[in-house]
Amino acid sequence: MYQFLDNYHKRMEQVAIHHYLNEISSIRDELRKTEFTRQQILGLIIQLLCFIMEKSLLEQSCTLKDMETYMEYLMKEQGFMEADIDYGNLVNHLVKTSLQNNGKPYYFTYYNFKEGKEEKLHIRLIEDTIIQVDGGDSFSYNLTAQGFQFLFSTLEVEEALQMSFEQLKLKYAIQKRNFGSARESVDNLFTLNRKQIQKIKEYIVQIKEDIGLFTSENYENTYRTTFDTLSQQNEKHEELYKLITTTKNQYMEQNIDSKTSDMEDDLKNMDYIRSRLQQLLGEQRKLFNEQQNLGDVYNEAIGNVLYIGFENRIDMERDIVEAFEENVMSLDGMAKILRPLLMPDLKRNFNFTRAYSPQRIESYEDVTTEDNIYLDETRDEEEEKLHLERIDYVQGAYDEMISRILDGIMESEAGQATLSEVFDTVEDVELLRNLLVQLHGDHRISIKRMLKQSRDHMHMPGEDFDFGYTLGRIGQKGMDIMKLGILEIEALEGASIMIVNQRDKKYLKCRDILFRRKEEGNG
Amino acid sequence: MDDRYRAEVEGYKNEIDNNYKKAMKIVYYLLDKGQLSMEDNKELYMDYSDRDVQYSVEQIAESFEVMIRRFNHVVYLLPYEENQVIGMKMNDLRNIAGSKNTNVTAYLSMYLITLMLQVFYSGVGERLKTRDFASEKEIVDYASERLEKAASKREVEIEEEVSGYNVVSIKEHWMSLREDDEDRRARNSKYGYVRSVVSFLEKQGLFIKYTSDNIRPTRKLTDLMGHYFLDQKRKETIERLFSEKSIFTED
Repeated sequence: MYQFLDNYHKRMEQVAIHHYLNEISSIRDELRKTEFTRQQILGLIIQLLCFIMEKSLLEQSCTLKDMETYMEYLMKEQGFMEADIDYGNLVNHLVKTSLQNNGKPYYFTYYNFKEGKEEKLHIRLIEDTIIQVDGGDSFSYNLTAQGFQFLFSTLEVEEALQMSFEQLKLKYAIQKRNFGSARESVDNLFTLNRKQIQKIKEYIVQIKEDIGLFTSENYENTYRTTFDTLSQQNEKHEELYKLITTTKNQYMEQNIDSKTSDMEDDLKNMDYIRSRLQQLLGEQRKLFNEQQNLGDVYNEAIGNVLYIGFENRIDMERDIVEAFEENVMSLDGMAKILRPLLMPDLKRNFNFTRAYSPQRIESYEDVTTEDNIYLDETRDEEEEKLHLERIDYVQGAYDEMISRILDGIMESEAGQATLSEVFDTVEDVELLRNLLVQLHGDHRISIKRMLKQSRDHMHMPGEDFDFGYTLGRIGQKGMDIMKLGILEIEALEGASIMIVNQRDKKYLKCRDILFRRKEEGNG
Repeated sequence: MDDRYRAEVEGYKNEIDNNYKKAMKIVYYLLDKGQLSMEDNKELYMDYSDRDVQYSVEQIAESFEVMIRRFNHVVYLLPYEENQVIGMKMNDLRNIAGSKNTNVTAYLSMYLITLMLQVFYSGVGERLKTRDFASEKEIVDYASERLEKAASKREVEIEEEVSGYNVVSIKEHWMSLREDDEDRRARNSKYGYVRSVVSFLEKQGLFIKYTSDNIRPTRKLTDLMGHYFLDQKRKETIERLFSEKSIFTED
């Protein structure tokens, strides 16, 4: 009904950026503590953005150090003569606190009439990349596509119009032989052209980064209009090049006999304009040659079906974080979900050095060896004695529990026993839990192989449960465990049991588990 | 004629053999390092660019239950979720943080990893990466805020039970940890947990910590998140993994 609201979202992007700059980035506590007024801070932010843009356009790196030098110039130029200004600190606040919002994403909520729903606009004017400076890591800052768009809008409102305007100015200046002014115009034209090329390059990067942003329709449109406009401009620049060439020839013919200093200046200016136009045409030609590349980039990105466009992404908060909060018992599941991101870590299983080194049950010291600074490892004699007693107790309890399970299996004619049959009370449910986690995780265990592995390694027992170690111990006590062959462990669907601690009221609720023996080589 | 035919077959066999040898070297390298780029090993990377070698690599990868793919000029090896041999297991992950190895600390280790991922890659909105850096403090605050909310959402009867830990007991454990202990670098503080998790993720090549307020995801993580982890096609698998019943029931 109100069609003028169709493109309301485009206006809101500008409004959101202004809101961010005025209401968020320029009123930071760190900056308010300085002597600058809010307007001066806003000015400094924009001046800094211009510097970052210039560096981005010239494809140069832009480090905090570079900005510090620039800030020193700005301060002197604008007469901010405070003796104790720490430029590095100021730049740090302006870049990281103000423009990068301390690294936090900033969203502006508005109503999108075209989509008919409330939407969030993500404001991100600059981004950083890691570069190498003097052999070390440093950060270089550049404008995002949104940053370019915003900064262009503060000056180059309609670039196409501006370009035409400069072309016209240049044309008239040449025709009127006002070469000083023409020189200025050709410089402006050159800068505008550079910006346009930069925008296209940004666009290419954006396609590579996030194909989900582009539908083939809007890609086609942007692609076509971009190159149509470029093609029209290119024709005009070629006309201008011809104009300056013929003007110079005419000028030389008309002034063949005279040789004044004005004439020398004019000729210098004309040569400059010609060379600038030549450069400009060269850059545009290069871009035309890359035209195919732009198409390729899109096709390649589309072809790479593995890349996930934003419409097809998992909502991390809803699908993973909240789901994990609701399923706190899904430790195994979560580990599996994370598995593709993590290194294979085969050394843990197959490393010979490790196999022949004194073995102990892996604990967090093994996993995070470099983190041991966090721990106070010293233990006095008394503590050591208590520790050893504790390990004796724990390993004894494991022996007893495993013996009960294995006895249960061997005594049964069917060669199987359930957890509920073997236990209703236990001395320490926490230890039983450790044991069950380990056994359940293994599913199927060859007793012979387990014993062999256990004999090959020297164990340094801790509080953790190690089935091989426990088997070895109960074997030494006389149980004929070799009769068992293969031990299978299976959690039974639906059945829930409770095992109570003998000492206190603690209990363990879990699914009933079936322990079954099979002959070696039988399935 | 026969000789020529035999020579051709022999040549063909040799080629297949060579491709497999190259593929095996690539897979072996990836099993060790997890990724392969031109800078890491030019020869292997160039070998991978050969279509026939790539095909062999894929066949080996399939039988190893891993995915080997090139994203942004780097070849990565990703173990599939159900891979029982290659890849981290719950027992490897449960010891990352905290000073004891309990289900609560195991949960917190993995929970903090997921929060770190969410902070940088929400999966919502047009941009894959939502920010460049974050601080330890933010992660600590965020974990406290979320656990508080999650615990208040659920009405869980708090009992002194061993196996039936729940989001309330996890929150209580987290809240009982000291806020920070910069001097002692204690592992058993909120910041100690986050530091241990970040350190683990650094070793995995997924994050870089410059300072405590400048923690950044690596290009590797961005590649893996953008090409695989956030794929909605995984949603069913994720739902199934979350619903897989642990042998320990909650109540």
